[in-house]
Amino acid sequence: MSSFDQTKRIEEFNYRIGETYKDDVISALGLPDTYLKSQEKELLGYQGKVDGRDYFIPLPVHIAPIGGDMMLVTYINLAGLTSEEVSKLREVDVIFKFDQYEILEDVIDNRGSK
Amino acid sequence: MKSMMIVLALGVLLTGCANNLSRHKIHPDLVGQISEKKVALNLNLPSKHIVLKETQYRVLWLNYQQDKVSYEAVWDSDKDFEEAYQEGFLRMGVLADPKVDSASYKKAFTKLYPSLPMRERFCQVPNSCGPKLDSYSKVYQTPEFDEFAADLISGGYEYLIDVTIPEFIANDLNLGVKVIGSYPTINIIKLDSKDLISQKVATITHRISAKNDLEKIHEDGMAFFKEAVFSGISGSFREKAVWYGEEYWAY
Repeated sequence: MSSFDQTKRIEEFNYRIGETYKDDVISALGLPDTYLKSQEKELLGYQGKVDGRDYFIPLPVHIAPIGGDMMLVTYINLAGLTSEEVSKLREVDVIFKFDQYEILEDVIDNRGSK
Repeated sequence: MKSMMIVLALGVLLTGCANNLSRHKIHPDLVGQISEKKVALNLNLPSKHIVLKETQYRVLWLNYQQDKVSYEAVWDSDKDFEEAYQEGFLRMGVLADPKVDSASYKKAFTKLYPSLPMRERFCQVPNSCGPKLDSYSKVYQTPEFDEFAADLISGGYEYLIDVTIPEFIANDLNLGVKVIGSYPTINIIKLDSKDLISQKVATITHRISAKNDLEKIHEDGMAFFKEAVFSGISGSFREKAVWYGEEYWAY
């Protein structure tokens, strides 16, 4: 499991509506995956699982000197996720909603609906 | 399948991206040309995200894991970036004024940004290299830019330095090597003719201490991330590379 995976931290995080501050959430869970702010509210969205797991199997196809002792090696990747696939993997598990004083106002938990 | 480019030199292996900048070199006299003029500075930060990336070596292949997080929740970064680039250009002998009202243009740019074609061919992390360089012409044809340029001209400005900072990459290569970087594009526009007289990818790259845990990038007000970013920006002005489009790595 990646160190970037927040699933367990989200599960174990004890928050209290009206008492928990934005800083408490960030201290416990780290930076959010998504963030929205208006005059009245702030929304911090946490995804839990990482965006993507990828692997790179290099097949060298071209080598060229680029000056000094450096060589440019062009590879074809025999594996990998496209940007479209990565973006499809992005879904938010939990949204923390804060008021203008950065106090927790509401929590939208999407984990059960997945 | 997507093609990828890896240079055997450590630097590009760390950043995972290479740029062909030779065709974007500018005439050395440009510094002299604009240093005597009134120059405005604008920064676009259309995606205030960091791609956290972890690479694990498996002898014959590499395993990647990545996550994208927003730094906007804890850092109101615009002013800090403006000051860093203003200082950099001042070191080059150009007084670039960031105190211009660009809100409408910035908003239009951010709205247009997702539709711009991205430089993905040599970019290890999708969308993190920023838009293709020729796609900025679309940005500079918007009514919001026209209005911004007209306001600048009426304020006596002759040139605009327009900096776009895409997502940052924080890469843990799992060999005690951790790097934070980004690929800002610096466009210089002559306002009366709207000619794009210079276009550079001025890479920000800075190696951080192995003891800094990317999982804890939010701690201490994002101290190690900010230090890396601003060292990287400062390094991007070293040796006048920002003008001549040279690649460099500020370790």
